[in-house]
Amino acid sequence: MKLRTAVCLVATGVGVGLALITQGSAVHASVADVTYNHQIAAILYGHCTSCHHAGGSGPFALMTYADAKRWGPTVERVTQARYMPPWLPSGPHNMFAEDRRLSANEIDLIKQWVDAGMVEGDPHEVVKPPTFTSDWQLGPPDLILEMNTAMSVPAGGTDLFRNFILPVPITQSRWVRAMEIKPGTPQVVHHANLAIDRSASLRRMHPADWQAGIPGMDVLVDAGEAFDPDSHFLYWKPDSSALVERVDLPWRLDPGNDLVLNMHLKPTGKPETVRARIGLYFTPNAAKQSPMLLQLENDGGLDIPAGKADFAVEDQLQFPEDVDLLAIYPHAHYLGKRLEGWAVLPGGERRELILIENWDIDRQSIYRYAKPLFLPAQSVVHMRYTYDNSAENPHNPHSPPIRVRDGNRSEDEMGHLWLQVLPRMTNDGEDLRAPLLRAWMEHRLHKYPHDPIALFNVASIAMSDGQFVQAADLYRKTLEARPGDVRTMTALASAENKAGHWKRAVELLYGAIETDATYSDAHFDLAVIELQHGDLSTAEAELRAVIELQPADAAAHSTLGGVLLATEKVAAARAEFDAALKADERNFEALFNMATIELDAGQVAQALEHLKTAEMVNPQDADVHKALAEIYSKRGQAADALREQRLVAANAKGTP
Amino acid sequence: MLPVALMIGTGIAPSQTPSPLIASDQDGRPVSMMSPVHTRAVVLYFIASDCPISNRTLPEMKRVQAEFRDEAVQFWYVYPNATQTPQSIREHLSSFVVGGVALTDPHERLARLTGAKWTPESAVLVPDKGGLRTVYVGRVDDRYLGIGKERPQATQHDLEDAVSAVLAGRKPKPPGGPSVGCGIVGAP
Repeated sequence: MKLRTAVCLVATGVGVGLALITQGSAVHASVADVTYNHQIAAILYGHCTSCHHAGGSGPFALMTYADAKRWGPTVERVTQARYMPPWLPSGPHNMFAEDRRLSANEIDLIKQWVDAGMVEGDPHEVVKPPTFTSDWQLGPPDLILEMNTAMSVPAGGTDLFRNFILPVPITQSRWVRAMEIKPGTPQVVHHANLAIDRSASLRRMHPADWQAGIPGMDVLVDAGEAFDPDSHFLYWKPDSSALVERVDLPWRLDPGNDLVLNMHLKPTGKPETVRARIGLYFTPNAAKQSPMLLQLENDGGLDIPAGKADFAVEDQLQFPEDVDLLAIYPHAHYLGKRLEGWAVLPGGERRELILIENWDIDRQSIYRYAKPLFLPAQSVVHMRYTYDNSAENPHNPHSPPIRVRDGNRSEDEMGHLWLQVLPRMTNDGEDLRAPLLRAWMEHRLHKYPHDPIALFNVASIAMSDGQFVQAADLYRKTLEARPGDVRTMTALASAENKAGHWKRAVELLYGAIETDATYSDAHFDLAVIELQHGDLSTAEAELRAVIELQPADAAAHSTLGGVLLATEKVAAARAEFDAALKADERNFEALFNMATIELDAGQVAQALEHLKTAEMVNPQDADVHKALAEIYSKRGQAADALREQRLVAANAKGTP
Repeated sequence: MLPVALMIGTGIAPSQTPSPLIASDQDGRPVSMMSPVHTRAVVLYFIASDCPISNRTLPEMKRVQAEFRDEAVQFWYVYPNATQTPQSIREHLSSFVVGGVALTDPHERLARLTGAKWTPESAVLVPDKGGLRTVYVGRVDDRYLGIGKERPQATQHDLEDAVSAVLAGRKPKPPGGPSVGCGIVGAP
């Protein structure tokens, strides 16, 4: 009542200087003091205009006094309700970077300003508006990827979740220091996440429709053969500009990788088209540390009865080593209600990681901690999510509610808590992500004893430990859970081969090829085993099969080159090494063998260049140093020759 | 231009003074809101080109309009905001493919007469004693329940039900919940 009285007085020009004290707030400003120029412009510029500018993702601009006046009552309503600026986590301000929340003081100022008639105030007091550009925020990117075709978004209907695959045309591995996603039509795109598909698995799974975009709120991509867990959250949200990584933590892209852009699209009322672009900024500096993404989840526990308003699932994971927690990404679909993550430290202390009291898929985000959160070894991270499958949940996609289980479709549910952790460094150069992966996957296997992902990964860990018999056993169990899976058949073959059963391996690989002749890894592994056992013609045939399937497979070209060289088909070998270097200019086998051919042909300068590159790729290879030493010696470069000779000796002894 | 009496609101006492129902189109030309003799209901859609919820409701408005295309129901799209320029209306009509003649309401006459306060909002009027009487004003459907409370799709189609009721000779039910969107901006 007091507030309303004051507003009326001001509106009639009587109450100048009347002090307002609103409950629960430290605001003591005079109503007449609250003007657009004095306070409101700065609040809008600081918290709103990153989206609400012409061409931004907000549906209208808030850049001028006229804009603010037009939308003042709406701004008051949405800030009072804390609906805007969008921010889901509760808890202290500044726990996360880019915390967009307004203070209670700022919210009160907006209310006072609107209620008092939205006075413009003294033009001399207004702060300078921020400027926005439609250009790339960090200047021209080193590489721009664009969706193959534009997607049409209908005028109305439910939200769409679509995954677009963007092949990455690079011929050598690159480190990415920053990325900017330009969604094209920002008002249509609610959020976007980017996954690296190391093995182009999604594209292979959808040969006919990958260019049109694959529906699904979530997507599972194959991590590939090598142990190299993707380590970064890559995303776009409505106020995103460029996503800049820590200087010591760029992320890696390899030839053959795809980027998968998972987009949440919201119809605007008129037909729209979306064609996103991704700008990548490279750095020559490799990552100095290796963060890792870990997941707590309990999708298996998601079987939510119709009408149930407080269905809960939990999960917990103990960390085997010290880590810094860098970022967190809680994820559920439309039924998610309260999402909480916390850690219990070895001493029993509880540390809040994230708490979202009112989950809203429309405002989901990845949260980077303002400062890394240290979690000592043996800390246990917990998640507890609740779901509301009642008719009272306005987001419920089913009316009336029906039983809901886990799945990738938006009408299914999920319960994921992703963490980006950075293991604390030790001096022995060990990849510290391996124990984390082990803990994660063993925990998963404990939850789901027949889960093929857990079985496959634990098998792969056993492989890296040299436990080939155990690995083979686990791969067999994976095959029971996923019969006919050619990748598992191929991996099992690899385990059998390493365990000394190469004929069994060959049999398995032929079985894999019979199941899916387009699975190039089986052809390649078969070629390598046959090569090891002297069957050059089979090896050559299988490598040619790989190349037919994957024309830019550098390893297949270089291995085939090696086979041809062994059978003295030098010109053909040279062509294969050329092709390998076109696909990957740092392919070691191709570089070294090409140099050998060039030396035989008297092309010393070319050979020298190839050997220098080979030396950069693999500084520990004694043969490269030996070849270089010989060239330098012949050229009279005694000092260089001596240096290389010393490196030959050092590496021959196995000491770098 | 025959004056048409309007009565305001649902369950609210009708206006005592008959009001001429003449509105303006986007180019300022007068448009008679008088319903043709055979019209059984007039629907007013209050919309704003810059209100996101209003825009997102347009496909549903058009769907309802199409639903009754063979019935004697007349639909009007009203741009009630004083801030709405003729140019912005023309652009909006074109990009959002809004059919028919749009009306402006710079003096809030239509808003006041129907009791509309929001975009998007809808009103249903029926011929009555030589005039029009408002029998429904409120939300188009229940997709938006409040700020930040959006259903993936509507479960109640309040306006459609109201028009159906009128055509069936019944009294429409009042809207099942509040209108959600952007407040109508009157003249300064």
